[in-house]
Amino acid sequence: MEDVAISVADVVKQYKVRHQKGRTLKEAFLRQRIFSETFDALNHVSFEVPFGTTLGFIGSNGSGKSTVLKLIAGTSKPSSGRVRVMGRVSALLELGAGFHPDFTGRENVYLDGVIMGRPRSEIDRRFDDIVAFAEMEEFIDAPAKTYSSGMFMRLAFSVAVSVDPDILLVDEVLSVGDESFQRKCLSRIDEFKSQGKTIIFVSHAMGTVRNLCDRVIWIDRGVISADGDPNEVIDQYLTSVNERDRQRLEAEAGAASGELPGPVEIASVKLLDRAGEEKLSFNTGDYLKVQVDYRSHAPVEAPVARMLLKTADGILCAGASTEMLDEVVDRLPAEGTVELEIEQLPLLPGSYNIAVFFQNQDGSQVYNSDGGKYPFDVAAGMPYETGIIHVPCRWLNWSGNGK
Amino acid sequence: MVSNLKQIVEYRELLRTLVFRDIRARYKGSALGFAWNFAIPLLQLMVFWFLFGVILGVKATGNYPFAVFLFTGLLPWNFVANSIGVGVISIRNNANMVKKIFFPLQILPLATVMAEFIALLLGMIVLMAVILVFKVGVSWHILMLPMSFLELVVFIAGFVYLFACANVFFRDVGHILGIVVMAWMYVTPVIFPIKTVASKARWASMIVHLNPMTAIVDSFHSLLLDHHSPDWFWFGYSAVAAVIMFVIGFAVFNHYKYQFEEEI
Ligand SMILES: Nc1ncnc2c1ncn2[C@@H]1O[C@H](COP(=O)(O)OP(=O)(O)OP(=O)(O)O)[C@@H](O)[C@H]1O
Ligand SMILES: [Mg+2]
Repeated sequence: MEDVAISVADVVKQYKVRHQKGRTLKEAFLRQRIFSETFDALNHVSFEVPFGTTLGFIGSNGSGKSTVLKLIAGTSKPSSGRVRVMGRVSALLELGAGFHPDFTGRENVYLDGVIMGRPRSEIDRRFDDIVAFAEMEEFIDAPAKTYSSGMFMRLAFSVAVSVDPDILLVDEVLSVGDESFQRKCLSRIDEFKSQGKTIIFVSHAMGTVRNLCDRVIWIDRGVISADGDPNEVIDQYLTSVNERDRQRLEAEAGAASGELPGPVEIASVKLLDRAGEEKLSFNTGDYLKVQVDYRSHAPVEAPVARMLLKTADGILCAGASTEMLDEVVDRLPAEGTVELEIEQLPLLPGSYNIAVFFQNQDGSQVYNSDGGKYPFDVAAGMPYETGIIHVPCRWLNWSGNGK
Repeated sequence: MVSNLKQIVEYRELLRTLVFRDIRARYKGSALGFAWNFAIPLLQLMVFWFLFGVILGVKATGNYPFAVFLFTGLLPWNFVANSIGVGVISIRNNANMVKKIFFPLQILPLATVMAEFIALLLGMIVLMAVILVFKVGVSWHILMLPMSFLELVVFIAGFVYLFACANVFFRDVGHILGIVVMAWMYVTPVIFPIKTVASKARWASMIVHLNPMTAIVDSFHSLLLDHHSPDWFWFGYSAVAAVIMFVIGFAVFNHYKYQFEEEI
């Protein structure tokens, strides 16, 4: 038991369902009964976190991640079950929670630190470090209401990590920081890890979760869906997201019955490794096969299949079409499979997606209405390379030793 | 109850910081700044003096002008009205903190009451100056003033705890209290000396006496202006009422505080 930092045992968190918060007296007396309706934000959730673990929480919006963190932070009490936390907690649940807009950054650093239960003398000692880490020297005496959201986050993060907590809770706040500060935060969190501190990390950035966490819990509608190895849990989560996406697209296609679906329908898109196993996360240089099963409802003359590979931000990395086969199909069969093989995936770590289209020869007409986006991740890349694409290259000259 | 009180001691740095935040936030950005703490009571006094002394020519009940009497009662009453006004909405006003950070929530209403109490002490400095200027004189009775302060703060803190909690669940509590406080002042000897209600209508006199604020506010008059001890029976009655009020308010607040985060 001694090595358990956080233990959450069979926790249920119920919220009252109502349309507007804070009643007036009249409403309370007249409509008391309506408020007995409840909603389980967490439904019998149990897990234990040993000291020194970095645990990630993933799940869709409203699934209960922040609720778990609030229970751990102590701002909220479970409706039933038990939450035990050993050690000093520092929580970054939302930007500058203790910040007062009329006060300067300096005053707010003290306020924030004291609210987290640290004596002023400790904040005095660390003040310069806090400001330096946030790179806010210039603005520290300006009122907080003049800060941008990134500046808020910088200061709040600096305070939270500098008060030397045993357990650090981070709920999505990093995403408002710029690239350079995010990296700085992540490296500070890495430092925390190496000091054996416990970190709970909530994020929608799967790449970050994958890199940072030793263990990931996927919460789905208040229930733990998966708990374990980051890569496996994230893959399961992404698979379910894809599945929901597909169902949504189908439902939309069904709903928009006035609009004819294209003559070609994509039945499934699978990303396979060399062993033929379906995966959603690959490494740079891996073998990747895209397998598309389609159905054709109406005759389609001389079709071309095209696949586009884009980053999650929509940058087109590569595209290929069956025209390179030099083999014209006169008519698409009623059902079939088209496969694209990439011997060595040249993408560096990040989130990507694949789109699939059936078109006519000159690309003026698209036959399928559900080309969609099939996301996948590239996890581990090549050391010392940055960017999107892995370019095979070699250094020839370094510090004058070359020829 | 005890552990909840202990938490306040544990988090005294936070309490101190919040008290100063409240005091400084009040006049932040205004030209006079901190000086408003003195300027407002002085301006009030001048208005009373002009209204009652110059225009109406109200006779003094003791050897001091009526305006001084009024001012002496209004200082504690301003504390009451402001503490209730700000304290009752203190949980909602700090929703962000309540939701995002774990700390003993009983700090919040107390911080606003303490901030108002400091404003009261600053007002007392002005009052002492007034007492000197009008040659009212000072007696050893002033040494009993801390007892009046204690009763006042304990009673109002309990009251604020109770209604700060209620205001989280029922938003209109704050509005209703605004009117209640106004009516309350008229059954407290703030703008009239307690002697003037003594015999007229028994039930009216009953209401005034049973009001716990009566003995407290009146003790300011007797200790500072009339130089005699308070009426111990009613002063003791108010002390008991203050303790009961605090125990109830504090207990109710702490019982419901875990629900605040979901309600606001
Ligand atoms: N105070 C509250 N009253 C009622 N319902 C609430 C309250 N707080 C949260 N909920 C509900 O609890 C559920 C879980 O919310 P939570 O904030 O934990 O989601 P989340 O997983 O953090 O989502 P996101 O990814 O959007 O941050 C939501 O359905 C939300 O509507
Ligand atoms: Mg959340």
